[in-house]
Amino acid sequence: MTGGASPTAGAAPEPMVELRGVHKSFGDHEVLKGIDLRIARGEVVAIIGPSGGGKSTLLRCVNLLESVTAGQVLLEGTDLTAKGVDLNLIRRRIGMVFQQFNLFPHLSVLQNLTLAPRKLLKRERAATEERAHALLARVGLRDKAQGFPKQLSGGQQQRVAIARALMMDPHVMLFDEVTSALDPELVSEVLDVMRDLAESGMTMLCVTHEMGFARELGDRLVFVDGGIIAEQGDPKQVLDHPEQDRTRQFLRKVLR
Amino acid sequence: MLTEPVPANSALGPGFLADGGYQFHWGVLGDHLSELWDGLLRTLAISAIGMAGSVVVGVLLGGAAALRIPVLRTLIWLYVEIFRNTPLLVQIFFLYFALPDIGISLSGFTVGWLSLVLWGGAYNVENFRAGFQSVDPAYVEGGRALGFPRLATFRLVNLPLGWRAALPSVTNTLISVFKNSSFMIAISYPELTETTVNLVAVSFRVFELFIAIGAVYLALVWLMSLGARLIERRFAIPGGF
Ligand SMILES: Nc1ncnc2c1ncn2[C@@H]1O[C@H](COP(=O)(O)OP(=O)(O)OP(=O)(O)O)[C@@H](O)[C@H]1O
Ligand SMILES: [Mg+2]
Repeated sequence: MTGGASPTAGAAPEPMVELRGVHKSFGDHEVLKGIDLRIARGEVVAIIGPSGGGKSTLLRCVNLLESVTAGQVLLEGTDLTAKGVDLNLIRRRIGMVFQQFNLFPHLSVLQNLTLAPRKLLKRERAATEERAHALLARVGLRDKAQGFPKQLSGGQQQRVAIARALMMDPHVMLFDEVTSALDPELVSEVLDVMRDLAESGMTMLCVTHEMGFARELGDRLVFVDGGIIAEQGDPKQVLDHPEQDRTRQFLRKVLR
Repeated sequence: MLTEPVPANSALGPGFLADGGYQFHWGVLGDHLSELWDGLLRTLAISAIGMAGSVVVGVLLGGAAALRIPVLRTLIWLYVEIFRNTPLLVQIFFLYFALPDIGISLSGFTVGWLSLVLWGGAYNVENFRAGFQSVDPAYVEGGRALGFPRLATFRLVNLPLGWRAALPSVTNTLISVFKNSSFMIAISYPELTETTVNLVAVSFRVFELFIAIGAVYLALVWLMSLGARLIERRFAIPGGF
């Protein structure tokens, strides 16, 4: 399940994503205070932590939706913070799904899926539509291709958003609390799609409040608090036997 | 209606009867139909160019303002401030009487549509800018995360959603552009109002002529409102946005 997570033949494999000493400030407010993180190909990393701790900011620094103040972000060995890097090209390799629904409301579900491959990758219409229908079937929305985003439930919209990101054949997927805005009964249908994706070997960074999901699917759990990685490790280990006081306090609150 | 017409030395105008009643002579409209028709066509011509041009100006400059393009953004702000905060009449006089002094002589027709484009454009810049900026940033971010450059995201997301949001205020501006075409009377450009005033001067049929063109203006404004509602319905997004 973890693909290239384990070292092959002694040589450490190149990480899919690597953050080196990443700092991020908004004005005087330093939100990330030195993040070092290596994510292997095929690894599923769950990121947890208290509100305002910098989880979203960390995720948004991976595809540089937020520029970093200091440090480096590497994708498959390429330094994205170097001069002359075309971030628009890089972002095609990084799928992202957000907490707020952000499908294009004026386009049908099918058009939402085909827009980027057709405009950015210059793929043919028939081929992209075929792929789109296959992905919609995979996320359980075969019959919604002609629907419009605001006609769908929140859970359906998030599944379409995942399918839209997958249309670009991303090498890594970023999920920022994609189930937090959903009614409780809609959470599992989205998590099922994410489980399917994790099991297919996708590299995933998931900011989540779903501890069950983190425990079951995460290869690693990262606890972010106050702009640093306060603790990380095997999800079961961290959840059941946290080493840091603040991790313990946080878990006591959310697990209750 | 059977009373005698007012004698020539009466204080009342022509058409008034001795008892103060008014004798309508709608025949005056038929007598001057071709002049009125020509006036209407000129009104429609400068209004159509004025409306279309002000939409083009509004979308382009409103888009540039929404994208916060440096320098251009300041120039646009200056343009909008000047044309929204000075009387249209002053703008028309400037184009018609002041520009010739620096070697630019414009015909009445050119000043007609140009002043409407500039005046309506200033309002539409604000209408479209507000529309584009009202688009939920989450949609824009969705486009950027897929790898669309800033300008492409604007075209694919802000433009189609923003114009829909701007439609009601743009419609109001376009109706004002149409009605303000009558300001061209100030430079004696023979559009519908100027034509009518001239006809009143020779025929003295004040009520008939002004009621008639008032009805024409009203009908055309209603038609424009209806058109806007049809566009709104035709381009409504299923489920909203
Ligand atoms: N664009 C911004 N401008 C200014 N401050 C920001 C911006 N984005 C985030 N912040 C601040 O950075 C801090 C971390 O925010 P972030 O959204 O990364 O936290 P989070 O861990 O994702 O929290 P939550 O669980 O509530 O989503 C917060 O104090 C927030 O107010
Ligand atoms: Mg967050």
